[in-house]
Amino acid sequence: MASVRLVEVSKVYGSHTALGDISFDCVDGEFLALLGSAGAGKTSLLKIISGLESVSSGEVYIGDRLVNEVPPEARDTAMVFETYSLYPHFSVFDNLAFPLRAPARQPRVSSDQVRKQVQSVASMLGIADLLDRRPWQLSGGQRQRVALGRALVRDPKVFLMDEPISHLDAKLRNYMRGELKRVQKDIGITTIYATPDYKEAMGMADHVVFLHEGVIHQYGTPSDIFERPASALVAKMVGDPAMNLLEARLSWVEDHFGLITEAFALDVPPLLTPLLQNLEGHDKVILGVRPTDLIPSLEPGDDYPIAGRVHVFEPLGTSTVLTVRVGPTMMSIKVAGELSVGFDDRIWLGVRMENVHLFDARTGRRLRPSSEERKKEETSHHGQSSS
Amino acid sequence: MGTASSRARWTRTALLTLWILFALLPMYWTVVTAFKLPKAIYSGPSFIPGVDFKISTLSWQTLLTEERANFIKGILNSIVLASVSSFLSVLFGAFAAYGLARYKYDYKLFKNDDLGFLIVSQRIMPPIVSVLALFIIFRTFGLLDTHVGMILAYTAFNLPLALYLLKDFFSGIPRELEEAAAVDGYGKLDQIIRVVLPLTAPGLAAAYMLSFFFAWNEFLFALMLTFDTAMTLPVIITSWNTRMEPKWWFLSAVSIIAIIPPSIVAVLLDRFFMERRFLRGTR
Repeated sequence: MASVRLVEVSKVYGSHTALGDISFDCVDGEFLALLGSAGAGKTSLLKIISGLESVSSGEVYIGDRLVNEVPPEARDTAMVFETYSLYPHFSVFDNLAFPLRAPARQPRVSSDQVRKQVQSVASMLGIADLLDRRPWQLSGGQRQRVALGRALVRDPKVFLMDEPISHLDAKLRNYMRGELKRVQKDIGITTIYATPDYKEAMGMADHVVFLHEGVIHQYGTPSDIFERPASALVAKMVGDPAMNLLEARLSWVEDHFGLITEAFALDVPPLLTPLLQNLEGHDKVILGVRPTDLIPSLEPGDDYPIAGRVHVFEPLGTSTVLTVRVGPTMMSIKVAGELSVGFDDRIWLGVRMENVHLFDARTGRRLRPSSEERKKEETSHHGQSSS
Repeated sequence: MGTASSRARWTRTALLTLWILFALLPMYWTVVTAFKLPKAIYSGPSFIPGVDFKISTLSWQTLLTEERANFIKGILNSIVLASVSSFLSVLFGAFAAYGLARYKYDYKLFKNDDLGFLIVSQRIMPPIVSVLALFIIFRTFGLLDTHVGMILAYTAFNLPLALYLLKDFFSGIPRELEEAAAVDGYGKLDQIIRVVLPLTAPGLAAAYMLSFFFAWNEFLFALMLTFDTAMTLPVIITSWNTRMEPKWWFLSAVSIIAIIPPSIVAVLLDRFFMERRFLRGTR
């Protein structure tokens, strides 16, 4: 069991920078999610921590030990690969036993001990009756559990998981999300989990690192990521349907701010005014509205300043998702219960302005009120890089 | 169901039968000749034992008495030379193939594919081109007519074959398996031995088998580079042939025995030719 620390790690392949200046701390026993879309650098980061790739610069610490020069076989990490990478010429039993039989392992594990440990891990994962099978005879879910078992069987310092459940069907994925979280809590091993799925990151992790194109955009708890996304990219990723992001121009109307988009104009309530005061040198913002913060109405009115036409509607039982064409863009709305609309119906939308998110259109970063900005400069925020 | 398909079937059966006869007749002839008396051989073709000719064990008796020393020397040399040189070819060929498949070489003019071609091209030229040079080299180093020398020569000439066969095999093994083994605590050599080699078994078996056959049947090198101690079966058989008038009954008997060791190798290695389905379970 150990903590993991990365200090200004970067990885360059030729002229392509896969990771730039990555620093974060993963506390002993915690579940850390690496959230990011494909190509963000999650797999590269995991490979660097496991030792399969070297760093171009920076330091990696496992526990208090600098492991930059330590080869993967000596780092005492375990990894669950996205494609499982089970050994096809071994039975399930031998796959699970393989790490315990490593020649370099000190102290030597007796074959009795091997059998006992394999049996206990297999029972825990519900694959005890598959021990004689070969990987090609197993279903996707079973293979995933064997891959997990192989990582669990040796009690490593750190668990690394690279999208382990992304190739399972939706129902199994939902089930495994809970199971993995439970197993991690029971065993208590430091776990770093890479995923492009925000639900997995938010549901399972103690902290989340949001990665985009090799750079950390945000480090925080799941609720930090959700309530206070640090950039428009983070906001877009977290939420289903995704948050509506629109470019808007700031204007001053009489005594308050207004936001003017291509298709509509909104009044900015006094609550949000402090946020807009920090906008330097230009007047362009990105307005972020969650689908759940839009109120639909079939009649126009002052409270419903956005006009549009229903493009598509999806009745999902407990809620209804509408995609509405507003001017040149599409917006998503999610309401509880049923809403009867037809294709191309005219519809008007109101906005819960108190829940709106605002981002600087030039940097993509979240707009903060001045007091918070000053506080942020004073204290060094642990784990956040180049934000 | 009609004349069309049964006509097709008859044609197939007829052609196959013809082919089988064509392929097996020489074998049959050899076996039968081994049991004939000289008189029967020279007095025109006879096919069926007992009916056409009298079965005799003359050739076998000669084999086991007069010519025994030569025969034993020949077959033992052939077995030793072929099995050891094939093993070395496959061993070095496999590691070379692994290197070419996994690492990136860049020696200015020579990159991976060039290096592979450089090695494989050694086999393109006819061996006779190099025999004279080899003779002189062997003589200088005292390797003429030695087992070591012949093993060296055969290894060098079969290694390109092994490499050629194994290059693709190794690139077909997913790198992630070695990565998984590394994280599981295995060093590079152990990764290769425990994970990669078992999966390339069909390729290794094929490479060994073919190297063995080439070495077993090899004539030119054995002829030029050996004259007594290290003589192999092909050379000894030919020397019998030239030394005296062709004793067909005797030569047939020897030929039959000469087929046995390679056949044993083929049968033993057959179990390694498993299907590629092995790799399905990794994804």
